[in-house]
Amino acid sequence: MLSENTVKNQQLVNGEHLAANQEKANSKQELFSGTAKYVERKATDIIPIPTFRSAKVNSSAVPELEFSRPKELKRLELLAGEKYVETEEIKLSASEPELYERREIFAREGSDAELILAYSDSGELRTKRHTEVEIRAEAGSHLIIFLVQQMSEQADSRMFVNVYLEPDSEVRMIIADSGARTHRLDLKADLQDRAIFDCQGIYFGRGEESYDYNYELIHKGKLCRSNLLVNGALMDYAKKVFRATIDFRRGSSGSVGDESEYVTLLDDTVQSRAIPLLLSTEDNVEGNHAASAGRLNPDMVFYVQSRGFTRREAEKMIIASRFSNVIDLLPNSELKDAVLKDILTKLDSAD
Amino acid sequence: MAEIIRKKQVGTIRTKAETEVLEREKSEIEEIDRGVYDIKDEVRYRMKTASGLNEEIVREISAAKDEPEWMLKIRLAALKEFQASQNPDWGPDLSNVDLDQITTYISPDADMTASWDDLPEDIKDTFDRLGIPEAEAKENLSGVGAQYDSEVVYHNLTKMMEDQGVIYTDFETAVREYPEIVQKYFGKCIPINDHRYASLHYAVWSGGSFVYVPKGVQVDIPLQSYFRLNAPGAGQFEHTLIILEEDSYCHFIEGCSAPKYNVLNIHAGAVELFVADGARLRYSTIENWSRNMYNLNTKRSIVGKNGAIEWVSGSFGSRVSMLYPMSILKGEGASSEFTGITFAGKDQFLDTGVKVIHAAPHTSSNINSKSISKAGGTAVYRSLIKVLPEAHGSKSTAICESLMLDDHSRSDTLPVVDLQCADVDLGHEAKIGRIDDEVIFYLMSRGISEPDARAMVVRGFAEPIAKELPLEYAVEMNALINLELEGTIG
Repeated sequence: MLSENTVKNQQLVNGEHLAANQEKANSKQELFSGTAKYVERKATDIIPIPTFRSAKVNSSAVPELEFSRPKELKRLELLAGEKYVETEEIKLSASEPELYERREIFAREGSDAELILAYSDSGELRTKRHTEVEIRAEAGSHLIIFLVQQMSEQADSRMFVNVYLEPDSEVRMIIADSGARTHRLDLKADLQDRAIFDCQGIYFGRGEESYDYNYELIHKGKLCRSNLLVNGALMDYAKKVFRATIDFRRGSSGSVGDESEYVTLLDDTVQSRAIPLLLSTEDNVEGNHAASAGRLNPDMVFYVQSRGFTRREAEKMIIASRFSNVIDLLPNSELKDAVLKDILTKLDSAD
Repeated sequence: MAEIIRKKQVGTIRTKAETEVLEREKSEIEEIDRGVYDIKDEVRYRMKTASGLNEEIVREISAAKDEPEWMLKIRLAALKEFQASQNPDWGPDLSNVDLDQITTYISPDADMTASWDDLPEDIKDTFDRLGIPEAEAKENLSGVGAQYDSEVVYHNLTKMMEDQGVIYTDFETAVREYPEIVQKYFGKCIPINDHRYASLHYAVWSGGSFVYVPKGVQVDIPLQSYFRLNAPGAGQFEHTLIILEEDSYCHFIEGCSAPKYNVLNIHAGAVELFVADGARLRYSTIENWSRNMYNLNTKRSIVGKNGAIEWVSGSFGSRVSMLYPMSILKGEGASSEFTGITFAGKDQFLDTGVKVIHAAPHTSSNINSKSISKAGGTAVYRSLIKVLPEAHGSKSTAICESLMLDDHSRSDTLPVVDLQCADVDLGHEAKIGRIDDEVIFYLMSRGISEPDARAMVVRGFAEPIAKELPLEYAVEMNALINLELEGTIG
């Protein structure tokens, strides 16, 4: 049985203490904070000393949205037999500026499906969307879900995904985010025996866009595998928080979990935070995390420039190549072109 | 103004009957024999404050040290901060830390001396067993300090270092004899309200070391301070202040231990390190507190232009540890290197890690952290790497490996990376896993028993840390690993 502390720690990293933490953080006692009120120090001595609290490890900077309309519920049941493929493109506009939906997907035993959900907006006026996706993958089911978001800087977007993987099920998610004034993605996967969860994502933030990711991959069963690979790029004043947790619970013997995030920083004014956690109460597991952040390799940029391209063109080519491993996974050429064009157009806007 | 009470007495804290009761209770706790670390001396003291913490006690400590008014003011301000603060709501549970049960100041029945022979026999024997005088003689250390409970009882610096202007003394002497330096730096690296246990530290600090290395001086042979807490139910709050002027070098070694009791002990020291332009400081620690210790230590350095701080850290003992040495890279080209290992055994919650703030251009940091958890212990690696907007051209790499020796321990890795500048090169890697069965099989096929093979792998895992330590500390660390592995895989 987990100790109270362990539970508390898990709650902390899982973000369940958000409200309480934030409230306390705002209170007088800024614990373990050196930024506080030691007024006697000379100006020259004042060095910002951020701490775990001021790094807001457990706090999402992006609040939930409010809607006056009721939540729209969509249910989809996938049965074994022929492969099911569905594409749904939703565009918010002046006539439909809001989307408040919940989707429940039941992948029955042995089913095989590909679902594409593509969200965009006209960019004319403020839009907002809130999407909840609840997925239950039964034994032997195989599900691929593409989540594509191409919103403008007028849009606020929230996405909450819960995936429950029963034994021997497999779910793959391909996520491409290339826009939204504020975007929050909370994705939680719960893996039972021998389940496989694979998630590959890209994001591109520009202007004053703010992205907040929280991935939580919980290994509960034996011999399950999870993989999270995210590539991103930030420019202008964009901000991003990437939180990812691989949690090996007791009993998850033989499991393997990998999480990686690679972010390219294109301007000095961007802000990038990464909080990749590995938690384990099981010894017979393998957990790996890798992250890197930085500018584009100047040698690589120079090489491309030496072939007659401008610096911006070189940067675009390199970023496009980094994103290609995800874009190439998109199921049709129209969608691939649309995502790539959207990112390149936004990169152009910086010229 | 509260009455200042001075006590001068020699006596024991417990009666024999109380000791027997405690020993009986103690036998109910499953524990390993930690050899020399667990040998207790009879508790004899010259002065001790009452348990708990209030203004009267703080004034009593200050008066006992005959301190200047400015230091008392800092103590009282810190006390207010402490009283207004609460335990953090993250990390290990600190609700058992009840200051009402803690004696914050206990002065041993000994005067500070520069000769081991002048110390009372039991105190001398303790440090003999810990190998401190031997290390001083054999390794020709530049200087040695030894603290026993709340006061430094031995301090010595070689004449050669003294002639070069190096100051190495206990902190009380520094306050008296070098007030202008102490006032300039004291509390400037770790503010008195940094966190609850930093406030506690500043309110009741006692003992510790003061090191000043003048410009260009190279202290090639290390200085070493050892902190021993002998009294049960006591706290140790030593303050270490090291100032390296431009282009100087120093290697400072710190060791800590305490025998095991059945009552709470607390360690809330503070280490403030100022590394000026072009200077380099190596700070090595082996913390081997007993399993009833709450180790809530704070260590921080500020590094100037092209300066370097190197942390080498081994955390073994204590019931709970919260320790995150921090480097503030304030000058262009400053660098920080952290090499650390944490070994969490039964009933231990060791929450350790590192913090680095890149606050100037072209700064670099390198973190290599390892943790081992076994027998239900919890090892948490918690880190922060922050790159401020002005720190362009900075580089940081972090590698964090956790080894779990059984399935009822816990190992967590919680790194935070906060970048506010694009022109950085940052890499972070973390791994959690157990000993590879194939490696064990291979070693066994060469005639090595399974327990020996496993112990060999664990020592190999810790080897990158051991090789960074001075020889005698590396030997001590390996001995500690063997000790910790007893009954687990050995």
